Amino acid sequence: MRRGILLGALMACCWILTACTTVGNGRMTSISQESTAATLVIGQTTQAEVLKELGEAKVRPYNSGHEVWLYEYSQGLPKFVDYVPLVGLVTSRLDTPRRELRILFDAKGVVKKYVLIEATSQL
Amino acid sequence: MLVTATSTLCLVSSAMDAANKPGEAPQAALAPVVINAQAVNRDQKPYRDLQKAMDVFERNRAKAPLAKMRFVVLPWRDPAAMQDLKLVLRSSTIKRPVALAADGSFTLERDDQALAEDAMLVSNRQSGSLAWRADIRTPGLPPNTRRLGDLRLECKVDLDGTGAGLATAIKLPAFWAVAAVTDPCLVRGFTYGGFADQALFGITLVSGERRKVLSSDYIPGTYARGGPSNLMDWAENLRDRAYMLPLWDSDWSDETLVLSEPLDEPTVASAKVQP
Repeated sequence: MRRGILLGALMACCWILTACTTVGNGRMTSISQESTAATLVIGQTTQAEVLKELGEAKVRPYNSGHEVWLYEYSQGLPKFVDYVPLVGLVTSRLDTPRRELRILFDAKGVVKKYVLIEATSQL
Repeated sequence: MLVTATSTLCLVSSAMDAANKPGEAPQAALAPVVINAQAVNRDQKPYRDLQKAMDVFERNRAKAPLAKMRFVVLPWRDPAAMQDLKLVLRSSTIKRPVALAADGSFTLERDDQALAEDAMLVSNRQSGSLAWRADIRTPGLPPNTRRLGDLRLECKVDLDGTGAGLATAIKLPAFWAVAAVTDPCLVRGFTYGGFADQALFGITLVSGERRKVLSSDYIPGTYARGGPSNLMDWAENLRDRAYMLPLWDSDWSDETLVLSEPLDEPTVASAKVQP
């Protein structure tokens, strides 16, 4: 019985350490600098239009009334693993492919600027 | 501080008992004891820790040879915390105001007596009102531009050894284990946060021809909300200005420039970041 529990715990640990996940907005896999520029016109494109085109984002309000909308796509280990003490120190050293579109809206909900980032490194 | 106040109260009580023993000549009434309850819970830092930070700065000047070090206090929860803010160096024999600049920065003189008497740098604000940091800047840089070596040193003066305890932090046993053998600021997996001068859209590292726009992982205000992050001094009023940096990444030298992009600056259309 005890051996079974230990085996199960070991398998769970292995799964955590080896499992790959894909996280984020699937549309980010195909987005490019060109398509982003076509979608987001600074001073014109509204939040409603972005929502229709790209879907739900992580929304971050600023005290000034601005909002940042964040679209992400990444592959790699589950994010929560990074927060497991010591394990996180090891796994955070692994580079994972990552793409991020960060859009700043002004207080009226119009695109003010944006940045599309393709990177492999995180914290 | 609370212990000190309570002990004082007990001593006074004993003295009054002694003064009222039957059969003894009445003594003059003791002066009333006034305990300032607000003083018990002031936002303050031990002078010893602040001097420890200054010592680490002096020992590591090579990382920032032209820089000057100040300390800075910023409003953790409410901008009004900076109005009429005062800092006083206090010990049993010292009570000396510390000049505070309009941006919340200040310097401290070395003071052996303050060290010997375990002086405290006491504010006139309640505990948890202020975010404390070292502020190390090389002069002559453009606005919204910092030098990575300066920022590495800001981290080091706070975390070196047993630490100066400036920034709020959750330090797990793994942190102390690593800090015992190396500089935790240079270990990937640990993060140290600072504040831009204005609300922040992005951070870019620039070294010669190389540029790297950092992902939102480095701008905690864009994602971290709730849970343990609420305990951090960047989580409320300073959230819009908070950033972290890959201080550990030796691919970026101390001379690297760190550009913080305010919300109102002209657009950076897009950037492709190479690993």
